[in-house]
Amino acid sequence: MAEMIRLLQNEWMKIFRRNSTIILIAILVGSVLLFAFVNSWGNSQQENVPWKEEVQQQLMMYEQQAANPEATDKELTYYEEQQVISEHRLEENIPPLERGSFGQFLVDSKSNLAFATLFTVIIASGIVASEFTWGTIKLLTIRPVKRGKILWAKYGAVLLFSFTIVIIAYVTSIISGWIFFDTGEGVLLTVENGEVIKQSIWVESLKLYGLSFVNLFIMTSFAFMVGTLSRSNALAIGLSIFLMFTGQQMVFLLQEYTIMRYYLFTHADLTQYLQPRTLVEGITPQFSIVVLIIYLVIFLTISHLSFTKRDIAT
Amino acid sequence: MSQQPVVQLKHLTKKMGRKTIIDNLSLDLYPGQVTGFLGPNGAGKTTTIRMMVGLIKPTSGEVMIDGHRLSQDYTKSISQVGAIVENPEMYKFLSGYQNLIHFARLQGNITKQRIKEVVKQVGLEKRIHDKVQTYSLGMRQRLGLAQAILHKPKFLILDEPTNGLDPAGIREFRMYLRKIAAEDGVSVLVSSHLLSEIELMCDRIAVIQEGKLITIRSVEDNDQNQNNTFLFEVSHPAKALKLIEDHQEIKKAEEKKGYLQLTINKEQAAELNRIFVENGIAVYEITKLRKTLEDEFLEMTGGEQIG
Repeated sequence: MAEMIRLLQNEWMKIFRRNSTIILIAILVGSVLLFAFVNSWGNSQQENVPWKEEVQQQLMMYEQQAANPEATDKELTYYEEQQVISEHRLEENIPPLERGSFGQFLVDSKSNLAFATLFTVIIASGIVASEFTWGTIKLLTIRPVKRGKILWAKYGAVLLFSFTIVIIAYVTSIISGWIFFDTGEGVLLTVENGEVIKQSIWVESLKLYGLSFVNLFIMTSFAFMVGTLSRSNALAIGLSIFLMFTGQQMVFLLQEYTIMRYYLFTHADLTQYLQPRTLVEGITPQFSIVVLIIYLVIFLTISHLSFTKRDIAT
Repeated sequence: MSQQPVVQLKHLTKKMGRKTIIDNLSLDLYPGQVTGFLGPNGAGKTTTIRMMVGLIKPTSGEVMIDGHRLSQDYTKSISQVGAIVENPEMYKFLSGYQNLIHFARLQGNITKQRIKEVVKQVGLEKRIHDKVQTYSLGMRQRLGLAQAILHKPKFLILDEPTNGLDPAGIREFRMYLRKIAAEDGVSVLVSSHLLSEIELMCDRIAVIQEGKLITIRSVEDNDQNQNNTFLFEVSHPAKALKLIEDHQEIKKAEEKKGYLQLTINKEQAAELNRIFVENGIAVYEITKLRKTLEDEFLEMTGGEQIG
């Protein structure tokens, strides 16, 4: 255990003593602030519709959707719930979160995790591959520490880094939300056991961040594997980013095929379960979690075998 | 050699595809000895070194370090090894000191005091807190040596260690190697391009070619060669040559550009000098052509490029 902590300290030092890491974090913070600024400016240009009119419109839309004969059970439940919430708002005079309010911004800010994912993928791709590029792998592995342990320390450091960067993204969102937005009077509502209840923006935003983190975590593990296998930083970053952008498109293109039920990107985005429709019909959160765990085990097994068994001859 | 070897290479063979890179190589390395490791480019030196430190697994054969089998007891055996494999590649964005902290954490049980001591030994005190990217090649070599000796290994592998060092640095380095070999009984394996360096630094040399060990012998053997080539500059070479034709002991004698080139030992050289002088031939100069390690190396390996 003491040894593992020392190895983690090493990896942590190698991540944070590099200027590039500091620049990545600065870009993340900068982009969250920019996102907040643009958002608040955009909202100030828009005319405000009274919220009751808006909710009324939405209610009509939900009713239409629910009346659609082709709607699945899941969609029906979703729209019915939304109807109940909208009716509740009108009856009890409870406004929804306003555009341009702190709460709405915080809930929307999970989209900043795309940056966090990108940057974590860059770190994960490089953590093993860079040692090969730098030639330091030769000095790193000729120590009285098993290669497997070194690899796990690296994976651990990447996960710690991903937590850190998500926390930075969240905290920066809160701070920039305070700077650019008003508190607002809107309240989030949700249906639980048939009853409409208030939902705190903190719980809601943490839930969204948590679900999005799963995607980040899977992409990071994938990048880690490619970096370990290819021993090339560029290939690992390139391939992971390519898949980040195209992975989900594949689902749309090939959704009729059963094989897509076992495809990584059908499941990587768990926030789909908050929507009326999932990417592929008939999948459940439990099934997604099982598929993701299987992928994770495969990624880590391949990384481990590649790192511990292959010769270091570069 | 009465002592037990620290390192034993037992019938090491490495095949990559169909090619045999290292072919049944056996070698023992003893405490307190500095062994030079020579061979032409592509002879398999680096591959052998990499097998000694477990970076590459041999196809067959075994590396024993301090009585442990490298393939079975990796952590135990490797804890007795310090090495620079090829270039001393460090983390350039870290300071020299942070690099040493990094390697100390990997070794375990290394005190700050010890790090300080090693920094002083390699003469990097002034620059140790600067980033490695600002270091010269010589300074990187020093840092490379520092990380290799941090844990006081019994076996030290140094690949091209004097590369980038200035003459004073090379001398200092040589003295240091001799010292740790003599005082601490460290067994050192040095590979180098600089054959004259190897000659000065090492007790023994091992030469490999095409993956096979072709020679292993002490460096002193070199001086004990009975016959040497002597060059005589004399006033009448033809006459002189005639005079020595009667001498049966002389195996090889010829005239070259006004010089006599003779393969004889030093007693004979003195004897010939007397004969020439007594016969009225003036002797201007007698030169012993020392056969250098380089000549020998080229002879042994058939004149291929040294690497």
